[in-house]
Amino acid sequence: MMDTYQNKLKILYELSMAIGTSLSLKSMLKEFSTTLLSKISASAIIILENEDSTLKNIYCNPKNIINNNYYSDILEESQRNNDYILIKKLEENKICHILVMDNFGKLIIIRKDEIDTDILNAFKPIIKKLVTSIKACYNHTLLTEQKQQLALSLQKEKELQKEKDQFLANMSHEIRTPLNGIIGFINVLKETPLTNQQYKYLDIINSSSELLLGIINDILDFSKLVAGKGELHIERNDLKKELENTLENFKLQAKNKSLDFEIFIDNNISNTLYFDTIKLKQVVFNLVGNAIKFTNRGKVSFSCEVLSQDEENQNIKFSIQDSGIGIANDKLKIIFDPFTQSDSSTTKEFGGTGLGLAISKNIIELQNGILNVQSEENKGSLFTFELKLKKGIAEVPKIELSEDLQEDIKKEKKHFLVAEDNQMNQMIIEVILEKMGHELTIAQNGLEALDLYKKNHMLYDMILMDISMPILNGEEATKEIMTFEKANGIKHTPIVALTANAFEDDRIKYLKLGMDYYLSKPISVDKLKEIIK
Amino acid sequence: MKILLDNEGTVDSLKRSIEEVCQNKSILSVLVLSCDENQYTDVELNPFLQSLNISIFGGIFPQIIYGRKNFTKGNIIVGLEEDLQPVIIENLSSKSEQIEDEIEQNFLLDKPIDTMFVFVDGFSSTIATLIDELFNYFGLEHNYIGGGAGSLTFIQKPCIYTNRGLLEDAATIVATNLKSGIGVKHGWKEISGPYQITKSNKNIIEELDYKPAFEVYKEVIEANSNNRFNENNFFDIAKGYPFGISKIGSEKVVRDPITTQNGSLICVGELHEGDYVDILMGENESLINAAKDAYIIAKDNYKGENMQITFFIDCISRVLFLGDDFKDELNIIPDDFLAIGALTLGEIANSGQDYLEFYNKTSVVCVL
Repeated sequence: MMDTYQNKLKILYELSMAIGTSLSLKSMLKEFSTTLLSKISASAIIILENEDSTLKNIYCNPKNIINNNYYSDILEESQRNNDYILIKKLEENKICHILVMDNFGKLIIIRKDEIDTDILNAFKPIIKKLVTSIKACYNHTLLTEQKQQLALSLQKEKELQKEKDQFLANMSHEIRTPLNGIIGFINVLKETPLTNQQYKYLDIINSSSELLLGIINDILDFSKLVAGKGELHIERNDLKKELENTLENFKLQAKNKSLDFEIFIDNNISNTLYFDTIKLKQVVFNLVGNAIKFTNRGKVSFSCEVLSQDEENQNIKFSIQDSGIGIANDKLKIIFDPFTQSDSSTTKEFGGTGLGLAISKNIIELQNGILNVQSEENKGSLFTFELKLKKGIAEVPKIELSEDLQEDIKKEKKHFLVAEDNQMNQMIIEVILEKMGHELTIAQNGLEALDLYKKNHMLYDMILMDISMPILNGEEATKEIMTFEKANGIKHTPIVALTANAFEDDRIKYLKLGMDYYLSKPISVDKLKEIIK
Repeated sequence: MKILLDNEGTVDSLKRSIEEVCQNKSILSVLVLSCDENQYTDVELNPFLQSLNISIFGGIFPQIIYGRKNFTKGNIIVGLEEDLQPVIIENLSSKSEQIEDEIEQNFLLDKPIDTMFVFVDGFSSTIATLIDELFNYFGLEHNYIGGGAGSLTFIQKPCIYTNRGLLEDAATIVATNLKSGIGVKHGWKEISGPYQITKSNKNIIEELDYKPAFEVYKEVIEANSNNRFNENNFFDIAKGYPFGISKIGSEKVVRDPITTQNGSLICVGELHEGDYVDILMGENESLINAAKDAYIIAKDNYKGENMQITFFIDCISRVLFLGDDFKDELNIIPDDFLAIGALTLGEIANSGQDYLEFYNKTSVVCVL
């Protein structure tokens, strides 16, 4: 059959159009090969890629062409010969056309008749476009693979983080439970007759336990912050009062080290500001604590002043300055890294995990602030940060108390319903409450507590509710108690969540559930007293 | 091979005929070619087809051919002495990538294959993909013969015979060791073109040279003939003016426009965007001679020793175009052997060593 010049041109154009419409190598080559096979009435197409001087089959249509006897001849001939066009008869009705694909490999076309050389020459730009498309598909595949690997890594990272969080939560709970026993009984033991030496030893055990508790808290806080799970719980509060209370703790420490401790709290600070009290106190606690710890003579000063304000916000600058050991210039960059202290000897001399500054920096950044430091070795350090806090509307506190509350306050001896499954914890609570002059009834689990409450609710002034308990846990028991109160129109009895689940999330969860207070284990006697008041 | 013509075309006559052919213990599979006018439904036939304990394949076509005559009613039952395992692909139009997987998973290339029968619902929209995948898997080492089943009402309905029942939008592919020779010719001649398909969607040409396809087509046909299109006569005119897709080294592949829709032309078989098409015209003589040429090529290609029948797959639109002269197309084939076959909606074949194609308006002759 005679093919007109125009006909050939049309077909070459169609072949060119069949390339590069897909970024999937398989789809692109399939579309091109079926068009080529159909348009030039061919019986097979093979694409060979040059890889380390060896030609490898990356695509063929039909697939079973590789099973033919002549396939190895084609490979051999393609490998051996470098002519741009090579035509070879394989067998009757099978003419093999081997075409060079520049910078790639070879294109093989098998057809019953020989293809005109002018058509084969006209294939050059088509083959060039095909090579470009194959390479584009390779790049796309590479990118897709990288994207998939990244997604996989991210997924693994998330899973690992989840496992780590779970591990930390479990460890926190497990470590806090025996610590609760240790600290609880130290306090109980202190109230018994002791020799001076015994009292001294007990003091050491106590401070070591408190230190251990502090370390656990630091690690937990830090792991939450670096996992991006640090959340702010902004509430309206009195900053001046909160700072005064926090700094009060350090006055004695400073005095014991014969340090001057200067406090300046600007009177212009609004009485009501919105901020995360716990986290801000944690930062102040860390920075002032460090200042006292690393200062052996001279003074430590804390100042908090209003830099500027408008109708809605106050910009407040916090400064903590000391005349302590200071930080060498080359160490200033690393002091905010976790588990890092300016010198390894610092750990030996002053102790600590090296997490305090890392935690403080993270907390300040969470509130869009920056923690700055200026320091000179053996002269002292100055830590500063600024926070923009929203002003609140001041409320005149109402002091009128209800008759019931007045009666409650009058009633000093209270009766507690304590839901706690751990025997050691039961003993501690029993000793603490009895020492305070209160009475208690112990329930071994949530269900027992619920049953006792249903029978004698009038008897109890407060419920101390452990969370992890068998049969009915603290959360479920609380829900049941509240349902019972509502259904029977009974006055609500305050419920205190008493748990070794010490994360901030836990506190919020229990308060949202309807519990009135939250107390983490080991039990702080002072905090419990405060709650009872 | 045992062949039976049932010109009654009832459900009972079909059952009787199949049972009669199957009485011969050497018959292990049956090929059934039926006429659309029999008006078979899946509800009527499924219990019978599903209860058969031998393989059944085939289809319902506009017409069938038996002994150089075309029939509008009836059935041809061909009993085969080979235990065939038809591969059935259902819901063809909703599949594209999966067709390759289904072929690869269901065909075992563990025994020699000579001829493959492929019957497909002519109104499925992925026939070209099916054909491409068959070639990609099997290559040209075997002969292929088959066509599109369905009705000239252009309403899609169950038309493929399988042991699962009478299926719609399905294909049945049967690998046999029957020796065959195949010839493909159409005889349509170019009158105008080329026109580039600038917008298409599977078997619908939406634009030619960036203009609505029907507008271009209408202009050419009306300029080249006394025909004038109105609301009701599209296919009456279009059956004489198909499209031709150019190839190097063989006849153009014909695409049959069967109806219009919002200025687009709906064809039997897929067309690719960017392809060039010509408009063709038929003359009785060239079409009839093409059938004769196809027969000669088929006989030349036959490599077996025991030729028994001439299996004709001819396009129904050739019957519509040739009218009474279609008998000449059948009569031009020598009556050395019994001629049987179907008048189809598209033909599937490979002519010699060419790529496997889905043809329209073409005469495919297979000697078995």
